[in-house]
Amino acid sequence: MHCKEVQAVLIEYLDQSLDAGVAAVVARHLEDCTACQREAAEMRELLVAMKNTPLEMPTNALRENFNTLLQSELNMVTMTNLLEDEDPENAQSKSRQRGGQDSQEQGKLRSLSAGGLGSISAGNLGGILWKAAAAVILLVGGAWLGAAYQANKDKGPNEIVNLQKEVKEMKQVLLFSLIDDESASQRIKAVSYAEEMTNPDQAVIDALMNTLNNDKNANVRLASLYSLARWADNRTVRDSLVVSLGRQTEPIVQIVLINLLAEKRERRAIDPMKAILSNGKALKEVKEAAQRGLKVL
Amino acid sequence: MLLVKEGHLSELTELFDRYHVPLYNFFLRLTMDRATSEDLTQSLFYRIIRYRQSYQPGQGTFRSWVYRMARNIHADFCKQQKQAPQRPIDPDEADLSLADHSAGYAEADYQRLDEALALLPSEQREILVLSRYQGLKYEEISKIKDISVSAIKVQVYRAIRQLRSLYFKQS
Amino acid sequence: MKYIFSLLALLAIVNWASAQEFKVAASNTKEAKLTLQDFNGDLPIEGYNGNEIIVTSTHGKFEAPERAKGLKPLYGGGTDNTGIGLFMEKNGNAVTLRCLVPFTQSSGYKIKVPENMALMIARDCPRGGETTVQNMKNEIEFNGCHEINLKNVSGPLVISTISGGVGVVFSEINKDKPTSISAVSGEVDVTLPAKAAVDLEMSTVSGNMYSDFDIPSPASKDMRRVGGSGIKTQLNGGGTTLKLRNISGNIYLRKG
Repeated sequence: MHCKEVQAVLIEYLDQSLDAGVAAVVARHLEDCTACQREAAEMRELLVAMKNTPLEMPTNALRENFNTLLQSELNMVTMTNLLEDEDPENAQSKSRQRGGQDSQEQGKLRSLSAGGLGSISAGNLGGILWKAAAAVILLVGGAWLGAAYQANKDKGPNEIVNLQKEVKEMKQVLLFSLIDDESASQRIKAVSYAEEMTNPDQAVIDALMNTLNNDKNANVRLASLYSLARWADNRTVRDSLVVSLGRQTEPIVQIVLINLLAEKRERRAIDPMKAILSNGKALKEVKEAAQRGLKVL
Repeated sequence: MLLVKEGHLSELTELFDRYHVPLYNFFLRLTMDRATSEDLTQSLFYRIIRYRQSYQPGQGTFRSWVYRMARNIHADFCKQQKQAPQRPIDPDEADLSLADHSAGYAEADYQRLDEALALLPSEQREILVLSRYQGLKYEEISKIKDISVSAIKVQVYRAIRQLRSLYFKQS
Repeated sequence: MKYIFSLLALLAIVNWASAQEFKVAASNTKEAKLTLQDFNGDLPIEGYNGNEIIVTSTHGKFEAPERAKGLKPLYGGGTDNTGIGLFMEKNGNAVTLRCLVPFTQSSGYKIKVPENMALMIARDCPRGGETTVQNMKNEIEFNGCHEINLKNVSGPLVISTISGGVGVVFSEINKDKPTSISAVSGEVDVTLPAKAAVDLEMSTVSGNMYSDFDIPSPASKDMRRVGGSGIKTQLNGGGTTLKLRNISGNIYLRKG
């Protein structure tokens, strides 16, 4: 065997996946050839190092987000099933049939629906109620997701969807799932999912506005404001920001909001700023900001 | 996985347990960026949740199905990066060095290996990550990349030689 | 005789101490949460490796006079079920303690908490006093008005205060969840481990920012737009989000 031939099978030799006969020939060649010996030693070092490179652990956030996504898919499946069940009689038998095999993964909602339909077997009322309830939840929680889900269900198996669209969709799921979390830190994280969206849906803007005006934590409100500020040139966002200034109760949010609207030369902010100046309870720093803002406007 | 396809979503948690660490490391070796790798792994599992119906057992194992999606996601990500202002991989900055390491091979050596790996063209880096770091069989990679086993052997051979010249040139 | 005397003295102390202390069992896990509302005066909180929340009254009188024998103490805000002017409510893993003593009277408490519990503290402006927290390993949320100092904590932290400053010394920083600290007129002073990997955002409207971390100078446009000066950068390759915001005070970010 020549060096070229030996080198060509060196990896398999080191992997010990060569024929015994060929391996013996290679071994013999390596005994005599220092160039090939060196190559073999270096290769071995690399192969071992690559194999032994320890796996790194991702942060816990990955698992938490996965669980959140899975939960919202479970709810989605349950909703879709409920909405698809046109005829309550049919729905009842269907859910009974399914009961055994998938009540386990469809969680609370499925078993609730089976129970509900079973107990009100008298007629259409139960079915209608359930459909109404499902529709309300869909509207409130995820009408957009429902649409996306239906659209995707019809697609062929191997179609590659645009990653950007999918990531946006995923971030929306996370945003909506976490924005009411009990932990303030989680809510900040939820809001931050909006940061990377370039063209947010109205549902996202509404959710952020709601957080800006009503969240019980100033930091969460502030994070929401910073996300919204990026779209401050959008007409509806601007309108809502002006309204928010009149309602805002957190001093730090008031100040940042005043600065933002002053920088945008938003003249409709003049009235709420004047109101802050004449409010006896307003904080000194907030009044100063309003004064500066009014000067600019 | 067949159970998942039939709608047993709770099985997905088990798949997550089994695959998320290797997949995260797959992305990590390719992008050299932890945050990006978490994002991509997250996207991948989102895809698995959404497209679980499209898994065809006839086309190969679940693992090769998942890795095929992982490759697509990484490719899409690279395309996106090309449109956006690109941040070149800088292994010094990325610093994937690890606190604990196997005996005989020092942390500095692993870092040097990462640096050499980062210099390879992404196609070569990918084949090494799949076949060597992740230990997938050539047959599996052949299913993932849709090329013959012998073509893969050639690619692995070229990639390792390239890596070797980069790695030992540095020292 | 001497012994009996000291024994009596000891009993007296123990008796006095137990009258000033309240204990409630709590699980020392990440899922457990302690909420503290409306506390007056200085409030030192310390994490420890145990399974009880221990509240000690540092001043304020709760021994009922002789005349009150057989009667319960009454407060405007609710029922004292702890004997030291607090209302306690336990709901699964969640414990809430609400101070019933009005802010016009003086009172003070120190609290020992199982270190893995999450902590939520709400204190509005009329209730003066500094809050200090040390040795806690879970999320801490603080909505207050005055000074707060935290030592040997890992976060995540979500802290806001109006007229006081915020001081934090991190032991390490939680990798999964963001930390956000905001103040209006006090100073924000944060010490991070030198190797902490964070995505850093800091901004102040009319104060200044100081740090011994290696922070690139060009300010991000994004933050500029919202007024004042801001920095958005990564430390040690980036990771958890850390937001520090101030209006008129300075921000100090130190290497630990």
